[in-house]
Amino acid sequence: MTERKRYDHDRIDALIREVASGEQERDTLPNSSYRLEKEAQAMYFSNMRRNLQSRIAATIVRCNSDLSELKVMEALK
Amino acid sequence: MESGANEKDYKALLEKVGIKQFRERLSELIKSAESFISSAGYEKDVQCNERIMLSVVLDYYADIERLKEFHKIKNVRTEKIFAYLIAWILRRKPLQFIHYTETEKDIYVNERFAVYILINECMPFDSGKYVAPGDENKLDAYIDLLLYYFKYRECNPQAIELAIESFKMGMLVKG
Repeated sequence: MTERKRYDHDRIDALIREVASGEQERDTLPNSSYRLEKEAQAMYFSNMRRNLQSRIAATIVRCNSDLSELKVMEALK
Repeated sequence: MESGANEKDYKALLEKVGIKQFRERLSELIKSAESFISSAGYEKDVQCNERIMLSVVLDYYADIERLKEFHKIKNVRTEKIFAYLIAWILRRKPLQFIHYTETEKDIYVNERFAVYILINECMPFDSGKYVAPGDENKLDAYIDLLLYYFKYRECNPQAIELAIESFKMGMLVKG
């Protein structure tokens, strides 16, 4: 085995040993929260429905209507 | 974003989530979808298909339970909850046209519902928030951007979650 191949082999072995011994940590994102259930859930969704009356909601439902396929249908008739 | 890959059915998932919690989440989503349909003026032409919404919730919970397992957490933040729900709503399209119509409203009702859910999560209890008269065109442009993204781009839940988190962070920045 050449010097280079033996070095690569040793390095790979060292990396595997690191993982096997638990030295390699796994990235996690444990940004936990309260549980969205029961009253909290009911309140969240109740507010969501109430917010449909807001000005921003009105903008979302009416903004930039795309009727392009309707125009194509009319042209095809 | 695969779901239920190793199970033959959803029984185990339902047991893990809890039937009561599952039913409540499904009911709230259906109710909210119906309110949105009505508020948006689609009530004559569009209905929330309960079976399709059920598959949204099943797939959502399959993803979330896998994430909880991986990150060793008990509960996930609402940013993640609604990012995954939005992604599955866009994929499954539970708001369905029930008949042919030529009314002057566009067909992107699921995408609009998704935009609404996203904006609402960004400002959940702030219905008093509004955009100043001079900036309304910027809000139009932002909604247009979201709609375009949801209509044409690959809507993975991770990107949607990042968008929500970024929006909330932006609201905290003082000038």
